[in-house]
Amino acid sequence: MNKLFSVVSVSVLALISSSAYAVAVPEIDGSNAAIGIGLTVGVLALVKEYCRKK
Amino acid sequence: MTTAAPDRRTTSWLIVRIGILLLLFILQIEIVEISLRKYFHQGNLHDSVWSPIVGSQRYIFSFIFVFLAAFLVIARVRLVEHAREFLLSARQYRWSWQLFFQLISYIGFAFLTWLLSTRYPESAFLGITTLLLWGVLLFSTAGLMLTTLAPVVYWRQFFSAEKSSLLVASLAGLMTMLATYFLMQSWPSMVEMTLHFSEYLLRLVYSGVFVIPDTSTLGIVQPGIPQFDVQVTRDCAGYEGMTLITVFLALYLWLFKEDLRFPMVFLLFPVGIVAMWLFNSLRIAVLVGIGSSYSPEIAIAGFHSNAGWIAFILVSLGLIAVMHRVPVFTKRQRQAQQAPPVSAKTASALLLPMMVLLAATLLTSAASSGFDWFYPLKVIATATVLGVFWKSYAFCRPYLNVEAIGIGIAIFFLWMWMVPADAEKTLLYSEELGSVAPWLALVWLVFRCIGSAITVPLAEELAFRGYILSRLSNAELKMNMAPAFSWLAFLASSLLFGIFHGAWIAGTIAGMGYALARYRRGRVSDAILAHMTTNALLSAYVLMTQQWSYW
Repeated sequence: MNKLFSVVSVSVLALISSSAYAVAVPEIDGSNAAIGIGLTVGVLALVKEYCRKK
Repeated sequence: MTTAAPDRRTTSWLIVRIGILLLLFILQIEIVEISLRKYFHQGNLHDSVWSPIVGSQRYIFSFIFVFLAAFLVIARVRLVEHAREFLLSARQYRWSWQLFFQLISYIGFAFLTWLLSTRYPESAFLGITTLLLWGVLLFSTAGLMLTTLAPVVYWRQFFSAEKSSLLVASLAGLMTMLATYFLMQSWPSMVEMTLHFSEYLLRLVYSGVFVIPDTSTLGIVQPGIPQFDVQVTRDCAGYEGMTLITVFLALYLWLFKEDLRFPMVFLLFPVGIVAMWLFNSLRIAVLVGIGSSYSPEIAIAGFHSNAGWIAFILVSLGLIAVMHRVPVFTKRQRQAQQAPPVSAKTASALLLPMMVLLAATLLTSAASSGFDWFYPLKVIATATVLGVFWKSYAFCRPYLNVEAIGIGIAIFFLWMWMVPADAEKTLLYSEELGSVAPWLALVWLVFRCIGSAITVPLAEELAFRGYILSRLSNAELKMNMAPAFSWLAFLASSLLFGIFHGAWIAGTIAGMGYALARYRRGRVSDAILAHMTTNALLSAYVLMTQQWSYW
C-alpha cells in the first residue's frame, strides 16, 4: 500500500511539475536565473546536510 | 585471458556501430528539420501544412518530456537488464538489410515531406492520402531505425515486458497535455486578476492610480511628476513564479520524502502557489511605485526581474520552515532538538559565504539600473560571514604555493584571450564613475578591488572546490585533504562554475584549473590562492587600461 501510495504521489508530483514547466519555461527570463537557481540549490543542499543522519 | 580479448573487441565494435547508427539517425532528422526551416525562412512554418504540428509543439514537447521521465522512473530497476540483453542480442546481429530498407524508407519520407511543404495545398493529388502515407513512412522509418540497432525478437520482448510501463507513461504524457491546455486557458483571467489586485495595493498608498483594462495597463499620474505606467502582459501574470514554486516543492518533497508526512504536505502546493501570486501582484505594485516616485530606470532595469527571484527565495524559505517546524508536516519533531551533525556545520561554513554573496547580488541589482553602486554592501556582507566562520576554515600555513599562483596567472591570460571586451559596459562604467565626486569613485573602486581579489575568490572556492567537488565525489568535507579524483566531480563542478560566469566555456576551463590546484596538495586554500591571483591580475589590468568590462 505504501509503495502504491508513493508511486501515485510521485506521479502526481511529476505531472504537476512537468505540465507547469512545459507552460512556463519558454517565457522565463534567464538573466538572473543562475543566481536564483544557485541560491535555491544552496538552500536545498544546506537543509539536506542538516537532515543528514549522524 | 585469451577469450577476453576478442570479447572486448566485439563489444567495442558493437558500441562503435551503435554510435555510428545513432549519429546517422540524428543526421537524418537534422536534414529534414534544417531543410524545412530553410525553406520556410524561420517562422513561416505557421502558414504551411505543418502549422498544426508547429502550433502544438508545446503539447508535443510536454508529452515527450513527461513520457520519457515517467517511463525512466517506472522502468528504472529493469533498465540495466534491458541494456545487457540489448548488447547480447545485437552482438551477432546482421543489420545491413535493415539499414538498406531504413534508408529507402527515409528517402521516401524526406521526399514526401518536401512535396507536402512545396506543393500542398495547390496540387489536388496531395490530399489526405498523401498525409496518411507520410505518417506511415514516418513510423516505418522510426521502426526500421530500431530494427537496425537490434533484432525484432529483442524489441518484441522489450515491448512485451514494458507494455504496462509504456501505457502508464503514455497516460501521464496525455494528462500533462491536458493540464497544459487548461493552464494556458487560464492566462487571460490571471492577467486580469493580477492587474486589479496590483491596482488595489497601489491605491492603498497612491491617489492617482489608473487602469486601462483593454491594454492591461497600470500606472500613476501625480501632479508635477511624469506619468509612469506598465503593461501587465501574460509573462507578468505570475505563473512563472507559480511554476517555479511548484517545481521546487515537487523536488523538495522528493528529496525529503522520508522526513515529511504525506499526504498533508501536498497542502503546501496551493499555499505556495497563492503566496507566489500575491508576491507577484505586490511586485508589480511596488514596481509602479518605484517608477513613479523614485526612478523609472531602476524600476525597469533593476527591480523588475530581480524582485521575482527575491520573492521566490522568500516563499521557498518560508515553506521549508513550515515543513520542518509544523508537526502536521514533519516526522522529525523529536530529532529537531538534537544537535546537527558536524558535517552540517562545515557545509554551512563552505556554502553560506557564496549564498550571502548571491543574495546580496540579487538585492543590490534590484536597487540599481545597470551599474551596481551598492557593490560595497556585497563585500561587507560576504566578509562578515567569512569572519563568523573564519576559525572553521583552518587554512594551513604556509599560505603561498608557487604552482597555485602559476595556475592563477595562466587562467588570467586564458580569460583575456577568450573573453572579448564589452564596449557598452566599459562606457557605462566610465560614465557612472565620472558622474560622482572623485573620492566617492575611489571608495567604490577600493571596494571593487577587495571584492574581486579577496571576498569573491574566497566565497566561490569554498563553495565550488570546497563543497561541490567533495560532495560530487561522495567524500567528506575536508579543507586540507582532497577527495579521490572523479571525472564527474571535476567536470560537473567546473561546468557549474562556468555557467555562473557568463562566458561559460572560459569559466569552465578556469574552474578546471582551480580544481587542479585543489587536487595537487588537497588544500582548498590553493584553489583560493589561484583564483585570487587571477582576479588580482584582472583588477590591475582593469585599473591600468580602464577596460571595465573585465570586472
